[in-house]
Amino acid sequence: MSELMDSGLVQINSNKSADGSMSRRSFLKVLGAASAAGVAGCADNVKQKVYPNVKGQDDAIPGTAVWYRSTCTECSAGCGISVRTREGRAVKIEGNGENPLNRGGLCSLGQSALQGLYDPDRVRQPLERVAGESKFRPISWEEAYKRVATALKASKGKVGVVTGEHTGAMDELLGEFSKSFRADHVTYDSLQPVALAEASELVFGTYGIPRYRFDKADVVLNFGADFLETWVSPVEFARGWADGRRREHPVKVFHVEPRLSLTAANADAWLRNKPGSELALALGVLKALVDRGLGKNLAGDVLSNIKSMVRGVSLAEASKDSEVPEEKILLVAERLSKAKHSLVVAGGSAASGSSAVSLMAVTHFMNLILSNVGSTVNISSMRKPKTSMKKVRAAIKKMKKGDLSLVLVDGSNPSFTLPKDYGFDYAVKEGKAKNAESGNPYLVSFSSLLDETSQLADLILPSHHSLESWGDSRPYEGVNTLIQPVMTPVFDTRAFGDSLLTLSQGAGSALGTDSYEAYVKASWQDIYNEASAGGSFENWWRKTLEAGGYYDTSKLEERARVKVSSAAYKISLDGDAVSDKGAKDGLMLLPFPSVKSFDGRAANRPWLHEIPDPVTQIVWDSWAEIHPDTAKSRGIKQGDFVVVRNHYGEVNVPAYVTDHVHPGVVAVPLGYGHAHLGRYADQVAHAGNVMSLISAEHDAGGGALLKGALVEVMRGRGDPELVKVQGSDFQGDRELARSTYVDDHHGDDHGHGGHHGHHEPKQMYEQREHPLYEWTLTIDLAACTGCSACITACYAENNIPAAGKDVWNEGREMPWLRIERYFEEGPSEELKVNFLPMMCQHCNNAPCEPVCPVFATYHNEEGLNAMVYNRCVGTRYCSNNCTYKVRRYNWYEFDFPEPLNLQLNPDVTKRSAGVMEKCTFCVQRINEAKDLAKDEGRLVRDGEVQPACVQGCPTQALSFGNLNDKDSTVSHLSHDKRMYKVLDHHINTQPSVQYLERKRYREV
Amino acid sequence: MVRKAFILLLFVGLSFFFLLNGTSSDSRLLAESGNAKSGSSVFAEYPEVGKRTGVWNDGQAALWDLNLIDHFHYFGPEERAKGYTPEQPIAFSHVTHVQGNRMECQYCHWSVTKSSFAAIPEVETCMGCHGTLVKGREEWQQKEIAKLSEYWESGEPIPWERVHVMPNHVKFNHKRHVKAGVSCHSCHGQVPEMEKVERVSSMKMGWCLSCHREEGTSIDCLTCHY
Repeated sequence: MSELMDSGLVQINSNKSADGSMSRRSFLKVLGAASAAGVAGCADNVKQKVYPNVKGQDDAIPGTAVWYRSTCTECSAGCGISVRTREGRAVKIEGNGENPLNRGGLCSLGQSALQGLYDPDRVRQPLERVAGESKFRPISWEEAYKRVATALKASKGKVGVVTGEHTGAMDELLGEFSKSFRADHVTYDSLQPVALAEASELVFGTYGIPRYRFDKADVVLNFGADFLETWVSPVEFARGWADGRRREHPVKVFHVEPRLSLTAANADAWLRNKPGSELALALGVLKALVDRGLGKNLAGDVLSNIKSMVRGVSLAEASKDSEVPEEKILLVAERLSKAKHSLVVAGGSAASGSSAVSLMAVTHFMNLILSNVGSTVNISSMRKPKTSMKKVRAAIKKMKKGDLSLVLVDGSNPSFTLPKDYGFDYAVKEGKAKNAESGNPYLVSFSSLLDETSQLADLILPSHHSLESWGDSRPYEGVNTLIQPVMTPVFDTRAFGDSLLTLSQGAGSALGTDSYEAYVKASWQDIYNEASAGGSFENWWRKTLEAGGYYDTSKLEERARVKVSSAAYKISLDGDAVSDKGAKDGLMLLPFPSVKSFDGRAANRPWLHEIPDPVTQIVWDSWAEIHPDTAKSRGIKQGDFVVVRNHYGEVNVPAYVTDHVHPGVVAVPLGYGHAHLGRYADQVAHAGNVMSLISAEHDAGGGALLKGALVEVMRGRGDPELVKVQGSDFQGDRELARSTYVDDHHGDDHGHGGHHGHHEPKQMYEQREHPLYEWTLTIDLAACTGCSACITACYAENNIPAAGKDVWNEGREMPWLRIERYFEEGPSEELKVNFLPMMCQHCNNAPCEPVCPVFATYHNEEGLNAMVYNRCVGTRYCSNNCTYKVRRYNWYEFDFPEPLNLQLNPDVTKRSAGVMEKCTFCVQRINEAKDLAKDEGRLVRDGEVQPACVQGCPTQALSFGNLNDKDSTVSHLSHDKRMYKVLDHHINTQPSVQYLERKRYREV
Repeated sequence: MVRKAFILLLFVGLSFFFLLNGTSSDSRLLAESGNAKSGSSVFAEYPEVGKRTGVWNDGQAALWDLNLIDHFHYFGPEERAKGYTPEQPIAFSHVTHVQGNRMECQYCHWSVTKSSFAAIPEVETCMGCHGTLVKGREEWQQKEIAKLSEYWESGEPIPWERVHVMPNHVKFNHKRHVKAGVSCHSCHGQVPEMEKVERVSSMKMGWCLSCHREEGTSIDCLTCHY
């Protein structure tokens, strides 16, 4: 077994192995040859070899896909995934529909895990630092293990372990390991809302993040939580929000944040507040709620305590502090109190100042008063984050003093994601110096990337990617998911769990088993007993693996008693403390995670850089959001480099001047400015790491203090060439992205697609007939958040190359799908943001078709606008004639550096230079479904074909099917009164993509 | 010399091309102008389902698709030409196995009814007989079987030379053809009679289309190119 797991990239399953379970994941080289041709495109490297398997495989037929269920480990949300493998290599990650959290969708970060697996800059074997130099040299695993085990044995009681968030078996293993070596185990994940968990302990009596049910709420008040982007469990929340948006009276969201995040852009009302005033505003709303006489449901003392807490609060003060008009506060309170189910949440970086715990506690009080606990706030199953900045600080102090003689780091990159002020790098240096005489390694990294922390390490023992290893995840009580290897490891790496077990054995304190797979299995005995499934454990285990995990959804719905601790009423009501060390200027820094950068953990994945930021539309760069007034007074223009600095450090970032940020704020995304990570991270390294501006203080709850630093902002030197994709921010009167007002009752005067009152236009061309299938895509703009997961899915499925910043700057980018973003002012002067996914519309009267001189593009009888690469001679007439600008021309031959090429989908031709390409509606999937249907002598069923974008959408905003089938989803939606087709009423292109208008409230 | 031949052929070929293209588009235009209902449409009409559908110049985008000359034979790489007979790492004889031992094609190429790809047998399959029973009568046979055992023992796959090399933009599906009753011989020739496997068909698009037209199956480009 372990022999197999250690076999490298080229070695396929050995006939010496008796175990079949790994062999089915091994590289099958049969079509390795075909995929190699895929990389070279049309070039005539036609002399090919064809390699058979050595041993028969139990479930793999060459030329067909094998799927494995597993769990995403990119963030701590724990979404279920299904991984598609072809000939033994993972080619696509999709959400697992059986998982009750993400229900089939998956965010961009999760989908990009493939590029983490095939990262060309991964550490390929164990490395050891060349003494006194910043270079590494390869060593053997035996040697590496021996050295660490020796150090471990010598350092009992002086071991530090730094990991990311873990639940389940890994958490148990780390606990055992820490116990037997008396190690300090520190968990650090910079984006964990620890303050929220602490506040739950105060108010509800249990530590943890409640399960918020956006799907059940009618009105949501949100203080800065980017729940559609990165917060806690974004796919689960986005799906819940979308379910709420689909109702006749969609969920209404009030969003409080100093900047326009993607979540703010999707809110019904974005209340731009003064940074640091969130608590004051929350208290104002709480006061207004109490004044409205709510809270009768609560036990007497709870309500009276809350009342006395807000006695001193005045709405006028709250309004003045937060710059949110008093009538808005009253409106929010009214809407909340009148809603049947409401929800108040706070989170994200906007709510991570020093008053974070108080703010979260106030939201909990509001939820209590509004009787949301038990309906939209579930406190019986909670996520329990383990990150604690207090512990991190204590551990670093110990390192500095030399009290630790061995530090193991896995799944965390503290040198980059910790604020520089913590002095992690310095602590490593000090610790090394104080332990130098022992000759043992001091810092051991298990990271599979040469990140900043690994660069400091003495030894690097690269871990498997989660797609190569065993494991599990238990985010909530009742949701237990498994992680299984889907292929043989790409490089000579070992699973972190296996390494821990081997090391403890080597150091003389074996932890029971010697394989982590066995450890996970043993740990799941409890769940098996709980499930009382009957039958043998092995049978149950196999079934559970197939389902991706064991789900007991009844547990998710349980109710728990609320026990408010008296300390909860004594929370500090002071607003955020502001640290202004050395910054004369006084702009508040607001670092934020985004769907493409997160906290920087995935910065070496080109797909994520290729996605334009949904709100700013910036690619391949970091940026600083600055208000025009602020910019003007400092002589900063759009796209200039700006220097953002304070006492702690400085960063250079290109300026993005926008109205959509408070004048007192400069907002910079997290995750850029890696000093070390890899070739793609290097391309955005010129923008500094914003964490270097943040102080080492933590909020009262022990979470990372992201907000509160004052900074100086000035114009810098140089031209960063900020690449912003969208030309115009406004759609004029072209009605590209339409919305409908759900609270309008005299509905005839506004846009209803297809029912404009004008007659069917007289057709100049003969109308198309589609005898069997008419493939149609429907996009419900009411549920589209603009998160861009569809774009990532399209990159992965269709072998779209990452073009890079320079190519984007030339306007020669390659994505088949883009998300257009338009601003407009709504009727009550609120900012309206429209997102419009735009791909080939497969027009029935396609402008591109008649201009092609070689018939490389034509309309087929299934309604597809076909693009035949081998016919294309590259005149680009079609692209020039396309109204929707969705055709992409291969100006260059793009590179897929090894082993990124292993991700290429063998079912899709990789295009070479000189060829036009565009969205195909994933015709390879259509053909696969037709093939299957033909075998069974039937037509393709509704829902059987799901193009990559449709499948991956976290909110299921897209649906695909046959319009000829009167019972299909798309047929039903074609009669929806919100249905329209982009530009069709102007130019009669008759697209096959139908959009459903976004739902809005005229009065929020 | 080669260049001269090329230019000559190009000249002859191009004149053929224009001649053929001209007649075909003329006849089409005539047919359309005769049909009052079609009006000014420049698009071909759709015939009944599954019959001869596609675009109107299908198969004529390139001269070598017409099977007039074997383009690959003269200009292309040898591996795409008719008659390509590469040396294999093991001198496997289909004559012995199919004619002599009466083995079915699908005994080894087992995935042909299940997948687009026809499996090359696993080394394990070969060893099923050669592992214990069959060690070869002649000396050359014994030598070749010894090679096989070496691969098996080292756990290495056999690096067979691919005989039927398809370009990447062609998605051929074995399963569909076999299920439709197309015999292996139609494309691969009389493999049972081959000591060394040879490419007997040009496997160019025109060659595919000629059969697809005859059988009235789809000639939509997206059937094979995507």
